[in-house]
Amino acid sequence: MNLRMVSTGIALVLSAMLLGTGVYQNVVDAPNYKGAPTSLERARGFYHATNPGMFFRALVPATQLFLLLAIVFNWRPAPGMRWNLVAALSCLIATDVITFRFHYPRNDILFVAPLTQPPAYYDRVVTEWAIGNYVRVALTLTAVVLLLVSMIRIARDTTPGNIGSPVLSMR
Amino acid sequence: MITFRFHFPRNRIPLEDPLTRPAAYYHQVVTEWAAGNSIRLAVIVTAIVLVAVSMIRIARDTAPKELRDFNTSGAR
Repeated sequence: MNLRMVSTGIALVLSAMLLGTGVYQNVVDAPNYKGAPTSLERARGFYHATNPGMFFRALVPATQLFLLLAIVFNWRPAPGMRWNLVAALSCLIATDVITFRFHYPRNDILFVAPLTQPPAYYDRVVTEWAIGNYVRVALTLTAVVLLLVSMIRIARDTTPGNIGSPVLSMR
Repeated sequence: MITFRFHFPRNRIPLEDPLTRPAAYYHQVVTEWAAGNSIRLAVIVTAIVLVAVSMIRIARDTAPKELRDFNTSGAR
């Protein structure tokens, strides 16, 4: 075990958690938001103690932090691999951009603003929210795959006896 | 096992059965459900660690020959 592998491994596990919760939101949460205004009134009541946003606001920065550490620790020993990790971090930053620009306004409509619009309007907003979430899931899945590939390469590079081998310098 | 034997009965109480018991009873059921879920999480974390260790070993075992040839320790 070394910092290269530990930082990448933790980033991989956290990214996989993000992927799982993203899929869960599309499979479990989004369908239950349809049928406004009753469904949304119930959803607002259900999330009285915590909400998914609180979970993501902790998990996403932690994932990005460990990905950044993975990039730092792998920058010199693995020049070829660093771009995989940079691409993974870019994917997660892109999910943040989508969250702030696309989902937050829709969250306000669904969970904060008074429910004064016709039901069809809210169902359309929920559908848009779910489609946007599929994009976030696809980006997170890309990050997970890139991290998985990086983990396999790091495991091979750090095989006892391989560190500093001439073979590695060719990567 | 934990899900079927421990959580499914506790899912039924607050989500399906008539809510005729006092509030403290449901609070206790939810607390038990959360405690059981922490155990499920611990089991899953153990599985993740085991899978990660296996993945590292497989990656090293299936490394290209030129990489494996540098392994002088013999231990994987």
